[in-house]
Amino acid sequence: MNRHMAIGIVTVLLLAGCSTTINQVLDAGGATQLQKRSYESRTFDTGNRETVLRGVVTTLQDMGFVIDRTDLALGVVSATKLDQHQTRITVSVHNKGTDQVLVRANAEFDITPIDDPRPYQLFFTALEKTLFLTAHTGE
Amino acid sequence: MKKPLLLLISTSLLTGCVALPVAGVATLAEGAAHHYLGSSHKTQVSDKKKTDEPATPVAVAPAKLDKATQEALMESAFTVTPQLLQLRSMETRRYDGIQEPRLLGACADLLQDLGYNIENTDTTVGVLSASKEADATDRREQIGNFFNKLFRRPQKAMSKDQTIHVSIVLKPVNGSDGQPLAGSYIARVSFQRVLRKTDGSEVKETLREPKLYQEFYQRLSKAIFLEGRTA
Repeated sequence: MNRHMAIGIVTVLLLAGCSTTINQVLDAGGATQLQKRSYESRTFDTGNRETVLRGVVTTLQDMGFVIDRTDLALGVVSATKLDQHQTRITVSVHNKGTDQVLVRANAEFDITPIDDPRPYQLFFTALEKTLFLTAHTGE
Repeated sequence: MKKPLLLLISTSLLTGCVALPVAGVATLAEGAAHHYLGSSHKTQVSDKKKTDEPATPVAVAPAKLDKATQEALMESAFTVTPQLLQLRSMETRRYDGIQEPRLLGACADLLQDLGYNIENTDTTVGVLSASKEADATDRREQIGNFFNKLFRRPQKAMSKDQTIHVSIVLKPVNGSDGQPLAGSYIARVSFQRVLRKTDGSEVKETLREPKLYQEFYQRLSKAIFLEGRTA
């Protein structure tokens, strides 16, 4: 009886372990996808994706980030800032129709994803200044 | 009597398993940080750091920040301070009469000369990023610890090794009409490093010594000159 119970417990433990890993890999944080997209994204009234991507690079450098990777074809910039702590950010730049560009940023601070809207707000305000364009919220 | 005991143990074990997904975000993000650092050697160091956390001399231990402090630090990471503007002028130089591929090529050659591994290049945007592992032992720290030992004072953690990250971005200079000027570029180089100490702790910092940037650009000018001669 005891042996059966022990096997049962081990099985339950193993299964619980499996679901934990899946949760960790696919966890999207506390906020819903829609909430996150609203504060992580802005649109700019320009058809020139390259100018916006270069603007993102300049803005991140001004904030003290080191650019890790850029890809104009995919429209992706990733950068890291080491200043006591490690902040990593990935910004994607996509065309939205012919006369708008959608910019989406997501960042993590040390081991925590940044889900506070304020840092993103600061980033987009600085990007507006670099591009001399006004950012619009909403996708 | 045995059954309740077994049940108690299993319940406590299961409670631990259920609690893990709550910490899931943190664990996932930590994995990503390891990915950024790349090699397995560095992963080991980071793991070591995790276990040695209480002994760390770093000003703020990442895992032990309260929410308000963390939010304030997150905000400050995205704020352009006067110090950063000063850093920008140190990091930037203008080059005229040169084409982008040649300038970027000279940068890549120089980084290789300095022992860096090129990690990413994007010739369309004009970006180069590279890193290197380097020794970080400091003679002054060793001498300091020698005297600490002599006077029976506690030993201090010493610098051991480091990973230095560098990125170079070239930007075309715009003329008064807003169009890029042919053959004129602004180069901007930034250096950061993760310094590992003998007690397993890490110091993450941006390098701000003006001399470092001056010397880098002196060498870049030489590399451009050399490339012009050999081409």
